[in-house]
Amino acid sequence: MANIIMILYYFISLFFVLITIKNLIEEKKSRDRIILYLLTVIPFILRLLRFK
Amino acid sequence: MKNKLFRFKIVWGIIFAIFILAGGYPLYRHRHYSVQLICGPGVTEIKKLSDYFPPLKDTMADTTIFVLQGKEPGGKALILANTHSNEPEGMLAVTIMIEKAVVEKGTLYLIPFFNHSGGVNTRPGEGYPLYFSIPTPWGKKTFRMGNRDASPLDQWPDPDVYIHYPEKQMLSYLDIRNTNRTWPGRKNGLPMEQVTYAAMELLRKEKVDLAIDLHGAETMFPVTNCIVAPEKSMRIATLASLTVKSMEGFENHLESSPSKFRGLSHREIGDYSDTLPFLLECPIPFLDQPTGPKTEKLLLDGKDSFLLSLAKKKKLFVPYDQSGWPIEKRVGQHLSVILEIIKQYSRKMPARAIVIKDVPRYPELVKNGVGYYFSDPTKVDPKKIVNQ
Repeated sequence: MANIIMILYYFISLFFVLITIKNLIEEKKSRDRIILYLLTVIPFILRLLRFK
Repeated sequence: MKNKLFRFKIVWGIIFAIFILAGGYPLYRHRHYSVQLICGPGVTEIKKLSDYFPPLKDTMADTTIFVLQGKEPGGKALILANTHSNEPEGMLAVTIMIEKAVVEKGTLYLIPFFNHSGGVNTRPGEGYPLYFSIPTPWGKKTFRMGNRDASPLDQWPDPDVYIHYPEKQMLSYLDIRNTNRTWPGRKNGLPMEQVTYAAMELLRKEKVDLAIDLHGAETMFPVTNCIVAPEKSMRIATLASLTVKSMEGFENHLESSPSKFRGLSHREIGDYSDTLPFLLECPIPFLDQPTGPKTEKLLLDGKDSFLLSLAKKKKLFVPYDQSGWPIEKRVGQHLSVILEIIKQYSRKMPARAIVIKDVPRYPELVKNGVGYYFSDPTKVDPKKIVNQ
């Protein structure tokens, strides 16, 4: 069961990476939001790369 | 405006990518760094923990067991180190035994990295170094500094409350990844429960007489500089403690294993097998909270001015002065207490005696240092090197 949850978590991480990058690309006005998207995506990338 | 924003995105995207790589790559390297262990003349066989529980095979939870079998049959002892990988004194003591010990009678099972996943985990949030190096006559030997618990990359998610098996005691959620809370283990449990289950299988199948689990603790914690033993091991622990105190001159007291605190090796091994368990604690100033920066130097020499001022106010549970608590003292204490427990058991049970030679004791470690006992890996037969 724990393994299934762990695998699902990687898919959830991937989903958040993709949706955040999509928002980042589509952002047309706010520089603050760009920084916010970049900050938000860090832990998900670290987990996907199995760094931490 | 559109172009400017695009440039902003590219520039900051690159800066964040550099952050991720600069922060993440050292952690990746640490997780895949191998420590070179050199098999000495006493090592007769190399096994894996998965030999006793195959589901662990090819996982980060599997670990190497060094078997040192004497020519004469006798008793058997298992020595576990790096149950908590941020307490590396035990691992250094076992590494010295792997290189130097020769067993004349009986059998030793040595596991230098019991919680292997914990050994590849880190604690950068508290400023722990990723590695530490021991000076030797031929250079430096570098080891990974690990963490108390297994890596969440290997076992996740944690439960809200960890319910111990089979005693059903409620413990901290984090302790489900702590191999000194998951004894006696569970066959179909989470990986760390399987690690302790595999070790129990080893104890039961090999009919091991003694299990010695090596730890370290804060100087501000009362359970330090001691042997923790349940009722059935207390007689031998008492004799060993008194002997090292009188013969080798270092403090070492006894702590009784609490029967109502479950999951610990010194409790569950005794309750769920015929083996006599012992848990050894030595003081590690590095682990105390009120210290200066958690540097490699503090880990090795144990010198800290904050602890010194606390010692003057009698707030520590161990003697502490300007000389700190260097690693050679801590490793030497572990080696002397291990040898003394084995000696006392052998006296009491001559038919199951274990006779070991060529392992240095406390005075030799204090005199020569830890690195003196490590061989240069470039000058030994590559077949004798085990990467762990």
